[in-house]
Amino acid sequence: MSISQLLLSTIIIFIIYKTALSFKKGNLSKNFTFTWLLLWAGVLFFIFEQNTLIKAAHSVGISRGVDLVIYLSIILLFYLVYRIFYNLNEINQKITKIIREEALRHPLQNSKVIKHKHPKR
Amino acid sequence: MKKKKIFAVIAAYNEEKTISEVLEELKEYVDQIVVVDDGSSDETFKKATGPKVILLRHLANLGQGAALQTGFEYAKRNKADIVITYDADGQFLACDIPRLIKPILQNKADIVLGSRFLGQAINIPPTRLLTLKLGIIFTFLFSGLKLTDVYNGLRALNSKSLHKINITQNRLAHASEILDKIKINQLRFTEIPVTVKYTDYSKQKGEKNLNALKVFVDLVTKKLY
Repeated sequence: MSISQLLLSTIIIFIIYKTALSFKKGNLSKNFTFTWLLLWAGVLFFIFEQNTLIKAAHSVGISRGVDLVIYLSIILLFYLVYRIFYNLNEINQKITKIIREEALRHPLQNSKVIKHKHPKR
Repeated sequence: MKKKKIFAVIAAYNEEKTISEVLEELKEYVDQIVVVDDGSSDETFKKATGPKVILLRHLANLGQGAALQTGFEYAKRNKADIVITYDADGQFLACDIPRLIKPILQNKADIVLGSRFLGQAINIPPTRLLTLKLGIIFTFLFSGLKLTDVYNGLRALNSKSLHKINITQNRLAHASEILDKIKINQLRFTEIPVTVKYTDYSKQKGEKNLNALKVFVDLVTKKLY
């Protein structure tokens, strides 16, 4: 086992351990935990089975196994950024709705709250 | 003929210096002034008082687009016939309002847009002028609308437009969104010459040229999500 394999597998085992711990505490959903563990188990597998990684790279027309990993990582990162933006947008919309409804519920006239003249939607 | 209920909606963020004067000028032209204090940290909400003034307070700063939509919601719930959007920094002349609402009263338009380039843009900084001209080209490319002014906050909407235009862009990109929705909903629109006067205060308070970039990013991200 090379030093890089040892280092990378230690980090991955630590990630898997922390994920399992979070799942046990109830902080993570079953689906997320499964996908996340599968991802890191796959990475761990390819660290030790580099020939399989190279074969997989060749099968899609990429010469080096590490290049395949980099390309896949970039795609994954793009997807994650997209999801984060999407979720932020959703949260932003919810906050806007709450603040708007709160403002509409208490209209002020001459610094005094006025009674609703309109039906609540 | 039944008298039309005219509301003015003002989005105000830290406008304690100008809001009283703006409300004073505006009150003779409209039936109700809806000031939406967009989470100001100054005394804006204390100064926004008067016989025709209704104040709605956002608990946090959301942006001009969100504040206008809150005002629109209030106007809808209170059955406004015409809604005017107006800036709180004192750049507009209230005496432009009768001309602004005329095409709606005559049933010739659903939405009327004020144009400083058909009217007057007093003391407009050259960089602002350039940004606005680029905005006109950008709007034409994005929404296909051929206009002479695109980021003018002085507009009048009839109740049909009010119900069709739902602003989802919380920040400055709402101006482009309104134009997009005019096109999508096939609303009848027209431009009217208005005066916009740039004072030291409004220049300092107003949109920075860099905001054009933020507007572009907001528009693109909204289209993606």
